[in-house]
Amino acid sequence: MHVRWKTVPVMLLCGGIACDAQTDRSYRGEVLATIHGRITKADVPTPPEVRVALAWYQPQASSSQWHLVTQDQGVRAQFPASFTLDVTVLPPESAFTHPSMHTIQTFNLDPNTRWASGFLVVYEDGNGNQSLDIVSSADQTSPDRILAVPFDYNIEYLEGTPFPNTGLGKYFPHSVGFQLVRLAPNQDQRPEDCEDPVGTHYYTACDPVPVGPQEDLAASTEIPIELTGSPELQHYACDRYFGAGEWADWFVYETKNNIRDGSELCDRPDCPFCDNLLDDSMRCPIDLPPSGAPVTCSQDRRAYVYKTCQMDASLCGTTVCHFGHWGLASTDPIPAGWPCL
Amino acid sequence: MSPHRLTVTLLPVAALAVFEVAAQARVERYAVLVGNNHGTAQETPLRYAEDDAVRLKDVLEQLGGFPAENLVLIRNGSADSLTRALIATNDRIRATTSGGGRAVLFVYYSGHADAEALHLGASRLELRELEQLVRGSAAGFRILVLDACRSGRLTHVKGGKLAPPFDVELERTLASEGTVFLTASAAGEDAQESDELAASFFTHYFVSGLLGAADQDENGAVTLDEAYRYAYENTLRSSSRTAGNVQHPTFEYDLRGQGTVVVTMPERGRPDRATLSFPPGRFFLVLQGDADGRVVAELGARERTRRLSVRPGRYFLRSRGPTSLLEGTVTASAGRETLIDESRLVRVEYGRLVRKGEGIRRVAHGLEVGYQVRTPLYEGAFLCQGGFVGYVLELAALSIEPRLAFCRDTIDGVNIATTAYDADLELRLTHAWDIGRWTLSLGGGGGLGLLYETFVIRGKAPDRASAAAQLAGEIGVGRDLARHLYWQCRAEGLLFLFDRQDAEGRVTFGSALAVRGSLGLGWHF
Repeated sequence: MHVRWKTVPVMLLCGGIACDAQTDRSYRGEVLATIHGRITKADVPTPPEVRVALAWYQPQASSSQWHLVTQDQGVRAQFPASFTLDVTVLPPESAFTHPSMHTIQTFNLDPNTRWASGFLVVYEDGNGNQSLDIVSSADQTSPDRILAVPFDYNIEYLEGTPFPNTGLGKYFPHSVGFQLVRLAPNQDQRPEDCEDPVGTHYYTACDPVPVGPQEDLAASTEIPIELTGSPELQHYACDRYFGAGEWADWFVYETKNNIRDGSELCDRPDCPFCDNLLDDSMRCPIDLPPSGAPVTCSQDRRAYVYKTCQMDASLCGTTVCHFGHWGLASTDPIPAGWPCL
Repeated sequence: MSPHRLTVTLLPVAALAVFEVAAQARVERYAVLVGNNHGTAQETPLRYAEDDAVRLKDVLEQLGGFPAENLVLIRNGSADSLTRALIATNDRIRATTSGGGRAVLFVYYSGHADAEALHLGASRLELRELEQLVRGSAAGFRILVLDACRSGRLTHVKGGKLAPPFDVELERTLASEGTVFLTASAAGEDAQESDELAASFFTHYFVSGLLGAADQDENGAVTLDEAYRYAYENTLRSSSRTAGNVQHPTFEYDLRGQGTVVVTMPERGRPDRATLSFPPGRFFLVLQGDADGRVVAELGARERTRRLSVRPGRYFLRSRGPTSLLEGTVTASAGRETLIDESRLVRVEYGRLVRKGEGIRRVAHGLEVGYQVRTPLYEGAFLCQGGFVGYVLELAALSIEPRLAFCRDTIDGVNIATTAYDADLELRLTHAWDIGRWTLSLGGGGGLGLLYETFVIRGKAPDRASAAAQLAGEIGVGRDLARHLYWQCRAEGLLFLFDRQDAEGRVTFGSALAVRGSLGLGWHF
């Protein structure tokens, strides 16, 4: 780092007077945003002080899924306790989501548009280093104990063109800069809602979808946090954990293999997911439920959904589900093994 | 020939007029040497008058052919003792001359005097009476040397009161072949002592000349006019540098015949004497034993002869050059000539020379550059490393160094990297001690600085600049590396005063203590 020439006049001007105050190591930059929170309940024994960290989350990164900014501070554990967390650092580069060309065209975005999402992690600083210690595999144990993660509150940061607050745009950031949002809960889709485009099957998500758009909140909104100390929360101390909830197997596959937007042509027998938008003649094999799997059929019995879930240890306990589904066109014959007879 | 009072410009004429006593057959030499530090109660005691007489006696005895039994030394004596000594000596001379022999009488006085009389303690000896005692001697050649004069207050000027011009009148007609009268100063002038030389200027140079320094024709013999010329020139030069008056020795003679008067034979060589042979072009001061020893002799840079006859023993040499001083110790062995090798003497230059106060240089300049490292001003920061450049002005008691110091350190904080710069304009005042080849310095000073911070952050953190005041104390050690080059290592305690911002954003004017170490290379010019 070199002294920039443009600052030389300032330096000369300040030769005789104190223009600024010098900072020390506690200085973390100018405040870009302030997050307010309120810890309202503690169902678990807590230390005299808990810490709150802002974590940036990028589920499509090929390596680390977590990008934690130790923009954290101590909170006196006498509840209820309100706190503010000054955000002085932008999300790291690797935390940004870059929209696909399809998304850019759909929403007429600036090509440089990008955004990042983050959330709060409340934890006990086990080793006293005043920072959330992240491990990179389930075999490792973080010295810190995660006490709460209000995952339904997101801190979003957007650069470029804001998304419209209509249609699918409701699920994307709507304002440039920092924005506090509340996410709608997810729910499983109905059989009749899971319709694959021609030439694909697993590509189309039949995984849970939000029941409504995300809600933009005022910056002064206090994020309510309950300390549960649930053992599952400890997964958040691993940088490969996708987060709470059920994640579609195709999505995990694409993430692990760094595939974007179903760009892999896949019509081979060994292809785990059927995805060939460019070949209209290709037909995907029927997705029949395994024996014993609960199946939900449509009223007309010509469509069904099922799911089989398992914990992926390589993703630090992420719940990965196969959201199986199939639907018959009105002219299609009932195939063998059809579960909705 | 009528007696004339001559200045040095006429001295060659006088030299031609004196006759060669040494060339004659057997010549018996007699001397009465008187030194008295004390004059009247009103006169400031002298410090070296009696020592002067002793030094001259030694030279005359060892190099001048004056037998010990013919030498009378009177220290702190009265006028009566001097009178009686002269009468007794004249009696012996008369006995010598009546037997067909020839004789030389050398009378020397160092002490207080006024225009009329010598002051030997509370007693007085009228100059006229002294003159008659010398003039009336049966010696064929009579030399009277008076290192006495007027009062003065500075540089231990001999005498204690102001008086009219000091002339010692001799009768125009002399009783025998000749009389030479030397005075250390002209009428109206003071004769001065030097603490550095531990002698009066005149006697010091007169003795140095007799030891060989005055042997201009390098024939191994120092004549009276050579000794006088040497004493004249150097007394004039040295006294011109003092706060007292300029001192002009005088020479008065009345001689018959031709020839020169050889006073000492330094080159004749005696087994109990040693010869020091000096390189040309440099001034040398010879001290007995060590640097604090008595000054034995002095040899000017322009003197043709480069040899001095000294007693065997250990001598400390100090040689002044235009920009440097050479010092060292030599051992002069009996009956041998010792060549002085400049390269074996320690060279003292620049700041060390200035501090030594030898008067060759009163100031030295230097340029210093170096590396420095400072402890952080903030908790959590790292060492601030950089350099400095300074100009050094070295005086005898004080070194003044304006300095521009710069350092940089980085702080890798959480999500933010800070680079802090510190540029200071400083002034340091130090006092130095030269201990052997090492120089130890102690001092302090202050300065004004500019503290500047830049940040690397994925956010917003504008650069910050603030002024700072600085107070410092320092200790240093250094050593010469080569002719102009030296190194110096310093440790400094620093107090910085500047505006600080804490974690909550509060700004306060505060202080920070730091320690700084530096290693610099200096170049004297």
